[in-house]
Amino acid sequence: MIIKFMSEYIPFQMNPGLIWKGIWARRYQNIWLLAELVIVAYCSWSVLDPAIVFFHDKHFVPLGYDADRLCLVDLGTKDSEFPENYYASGQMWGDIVRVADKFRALEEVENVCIAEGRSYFNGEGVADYNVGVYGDTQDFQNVHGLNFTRGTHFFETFGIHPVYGGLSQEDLSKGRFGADAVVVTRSLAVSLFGTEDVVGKIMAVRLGDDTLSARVAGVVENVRPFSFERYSNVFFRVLPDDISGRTSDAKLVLRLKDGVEPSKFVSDYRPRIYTEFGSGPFVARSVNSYSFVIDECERLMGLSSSYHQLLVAAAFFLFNLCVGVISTFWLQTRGRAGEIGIMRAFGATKVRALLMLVSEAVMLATIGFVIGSFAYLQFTVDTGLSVGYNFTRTGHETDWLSVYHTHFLGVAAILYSIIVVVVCIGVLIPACHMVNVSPVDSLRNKD
Amino acid sequence: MQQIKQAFAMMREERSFTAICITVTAIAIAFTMVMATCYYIQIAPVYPEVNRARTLYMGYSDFYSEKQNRVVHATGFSPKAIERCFSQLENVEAVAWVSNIASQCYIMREDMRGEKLVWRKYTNPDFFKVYQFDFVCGKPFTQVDVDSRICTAVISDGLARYVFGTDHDVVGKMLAIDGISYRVCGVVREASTLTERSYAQIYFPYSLDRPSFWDDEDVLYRGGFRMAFLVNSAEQEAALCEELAEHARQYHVYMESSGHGDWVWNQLGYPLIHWKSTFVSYPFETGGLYHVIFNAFTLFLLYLFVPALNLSGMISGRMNMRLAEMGIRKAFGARQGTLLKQVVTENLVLTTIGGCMGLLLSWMFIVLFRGWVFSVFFDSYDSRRMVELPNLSAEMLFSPLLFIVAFLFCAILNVMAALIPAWLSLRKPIVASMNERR
Repeated sequence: MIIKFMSEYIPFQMNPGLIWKGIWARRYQNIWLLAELVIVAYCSWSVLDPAIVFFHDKHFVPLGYDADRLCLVDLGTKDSEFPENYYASGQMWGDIVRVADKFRALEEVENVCIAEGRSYFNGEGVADYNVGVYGDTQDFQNVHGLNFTRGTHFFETFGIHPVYGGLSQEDLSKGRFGADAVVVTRSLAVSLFGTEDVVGKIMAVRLGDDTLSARVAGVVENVRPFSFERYSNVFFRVLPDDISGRTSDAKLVLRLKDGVEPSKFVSDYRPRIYTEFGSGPFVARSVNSYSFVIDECERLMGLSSSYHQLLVAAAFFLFNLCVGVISTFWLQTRGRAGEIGIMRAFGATKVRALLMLVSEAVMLATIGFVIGSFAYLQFTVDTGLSVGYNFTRTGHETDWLSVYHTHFLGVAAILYSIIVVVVCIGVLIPACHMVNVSPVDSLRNKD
Repeated sequence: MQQIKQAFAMMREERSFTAICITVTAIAIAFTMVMATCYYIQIAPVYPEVNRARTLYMGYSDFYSEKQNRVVHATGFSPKAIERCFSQLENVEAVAWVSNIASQCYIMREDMRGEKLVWRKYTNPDFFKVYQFDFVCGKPFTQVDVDSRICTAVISDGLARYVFGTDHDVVGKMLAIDGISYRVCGVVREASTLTERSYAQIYFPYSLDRPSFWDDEDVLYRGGFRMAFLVNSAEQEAALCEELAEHARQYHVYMESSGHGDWVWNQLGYPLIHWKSTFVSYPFETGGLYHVIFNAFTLFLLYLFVPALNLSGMISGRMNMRLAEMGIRKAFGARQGTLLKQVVTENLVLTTIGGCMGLLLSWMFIVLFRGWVFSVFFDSYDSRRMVELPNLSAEMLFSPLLFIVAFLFCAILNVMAALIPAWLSLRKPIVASMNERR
C-alpha cells in the first residue's frame, strides 16, 4: 500500500524506493561519501552546537540596557604624581565630575554616568558574589554584582527600568535607599525568593568569612552584565559616599540622544577629546561605541576566537563535504550518462533528471546525518549539549536551548539544512553537466 | 622512477580527476599548515625568544594553610619572593622577572605633534640575557639603575623612529611618559607581537613598577611578577626544579617560625619548559597537559581524515575503471604488492604536488590575513590584548621543520586515502577484473 501510494502521488524521480535502488546500485562508490557524511555530521555537531548557542546568546537575547545608544570614554591622567591631599580633599573627584559635565553639555549627549572602578556592563568591574536568603544557610548561589556611585545617573544612562519598589530611575541612581540596600533584577528576585516583588526582603551576601545582610530596595528588568552570558542574576549596590575613598580608575558612559549614531559621534569627537575634554590632570583619552566595548570584552575573554575557530572548522568540514559530493558524482558522469540519456529519450525533462540526482544525494545526506546525529546523541546523553558561557545560571531557564530535546531537535534542523544545502550545491555542478549531454550522444557513448 | 613517469602520464590523461585531487589536497594541507605554523611560532625558537628550548616559566602558585583552611591563588610573585628565593638560585644561567600585567602607556613624539599608545614591560637586566634582543644602539639598564630607581628605558626601534625620527644615536635622549621623563639607554630590534612573553615597545626597570611592587601580607610570596629561567641543559633544568622544591620547603619553615602561619607553597608543577607552558589551557592546572596535546593531535588527524575520505572515494572510483588494466598486469605476473605500490606512488605524486600548492597557499593566507588568522588560532590572554597587526619574519614561515611537517601531512593523507581503496580493488581475481565493465 505504501508503494502504491508512493507510485501514485510522488513523482517518479523522487520515489524513495527508486532512489534507494539507485544508491544501492552504486554502493561501492557511495560508501565513501556516506562515511564522509557521517563523520562530517558528527564533527559539525561538535563544532556548530556551541557556535549556534553563542550566536543565539549574542544576537537573540536582549541585553536589558540600551547598548546601541551608549559610548564609553576612557579617562587618563597627564601626570602620575598628584598634589598632596588630591584624593582625600575631593579634588580628584571634582575633576572627574567636571570632565563628565563637559560631555553632558554636548548637544548629542543625553546623559553621562561616571563608572567608578570600571563598573559598567562588559567591564572589569563586574564582580561575582555568593548570595542567598538571609537566615537560610543552605541555598547560596553565584551572582554578578555591580557597584555604582550615588548621583551619577547610572540607571538613566544605561536605560534600566524599575519594575517594583515605586522608585524611578532617577531615585535609584541617587541611591535614596541607603548603602545597606541593593537593587535586584527580576530573575534574581525569583531565584532567591520565588516571586518578583521582593521589595523589603533581606538578602544575604557572603564576603569572605562574613555574611552581610542587604535589604532589597527595588527590582529592575533583567540585564546581562556580560553579552556572552545568556542568563544572569544581578544586583546593584551603591558605593559609600566617602569621597576620599574614590578611585581615579573611572570611565564615562555617555548616553546619546535618540537618532545620534554612536559611530558618527565617535568619529566626530575622537580627534578632539584629548585637547577639549580635560580638567586638572584628567584628560579624556579615547571614546568608543559600546558595541566596540562589547566586542573587545568578548575578544579578550577568548570567546571571539573560540567562536571563529568553530566556524572555520565547520566551514572546512562542509567545504570538504561539498568537494566530496562533487567528485563522487562527477566520477559517475560517464556511467550514468547512458541512464540519463534513456530517461530523456522517454520524455524526461532536464529538471526531472536533475531532481533524480539531487534526490539521491539528499537521501544519502539524510542517512549520513541520521547516523552521525545518533552517534553524537550517545555522546551527549552523558556530557550534555552546549550550554554556552553561564557563570550565574538561574536554574529557571525555559528557552529552547535550555531544554535538552528542543535543543537537540532545533540544532539538528539547522545542521540538517546546512548539510542538505551543501550537498545540493555539490551535486548540482556535475549533475548539470550530466543532464546537458544530448540523449543521442549519451546513448552513443554508453558502454 | 618508472612509477613516477606513469603517474605523470596518468595525470595528463585524467585532468579533471587530477585537478580535483590536487585541489582537495591543497586545501587540506593549507588548512593544517596554517594551524601548524601557528603552533610552530608559539613553540620554535624565533627572535628574540631563541632560547625557548632552555627557558622555563613560573608565575602561578597556590598557597595553602591547613589551620586557616584557606587557599590563596597567586598569579605572580612578590619582591620578597624574588629577594629570598629567585635571586638566590644557583642552577640557572639567568633569571628574568617581568610584571605580570601587560600594560600600555602614552608616549609623546619629540616634536610634540602626537602621541601613541605603546606596550610596556617592567623587568630586570637579566631579561635581555634570557631573550636575545639585538641592540641597534646602547645597552640594557643595569642592576645599579634598578636599585637606584633611575628613570631609564630600553625602547624598540619602531618606537624610536616614531618618537625621534631615527633609531640610531638616540641613547641619552629623553622620553616623556605620563609626565615623567625617561632616559633612553638602549634601542632593540622590535620583536613580533606573536612572541608575547618578550614583546613590548618599551622596557623599564621593574623597580619603577609601583602597581606590581607589592608583597601579600598573608603569604608574603604573592605579588606581581612572573619568572623566566634560562638553563643550559636538561640536567640543570632538573637541578633547578629540585632547588625550587627545596625553597618551597624552606618557605614553609620560615612562615611557621616567623609567626605568619602554616602556609605551604604549592608550585603546581612549575617551572615548565616553554613548549609545555604553551599547551597549558588553565594555568592553575598543569596536569592535563598531555590531554591537551592529544586533543590537538587528534584535531590535526581529523582535519586530514575528512579530505582523505574524499580522496578515497575518488581513488575507489578510479580503481574501478582501472580493474581491467590491473587484471592484465596480474595475468602477466605482477604481484599485488607491486600494483599496490604503484597506486600508492601515483597518489603520493598527486598529494605531494597538492601539498606544495597547499604550503604556498598557507603562506599566502597567513601573510595576507595575518590579523585575522592569529586572532583565531593564536589564543592566549596576552596575545588577545595586542591588537597590532603581527609582524612576521622569514624564520617564522620558512623553516625546515615546517617543510618536514608538511611532507609528513602529505604522506599521512596519501596513506589514509590510497591504501584501503587500492587494496580492496586489487583483491579481485584476474578473470573478474578483466570481465568488469567500465
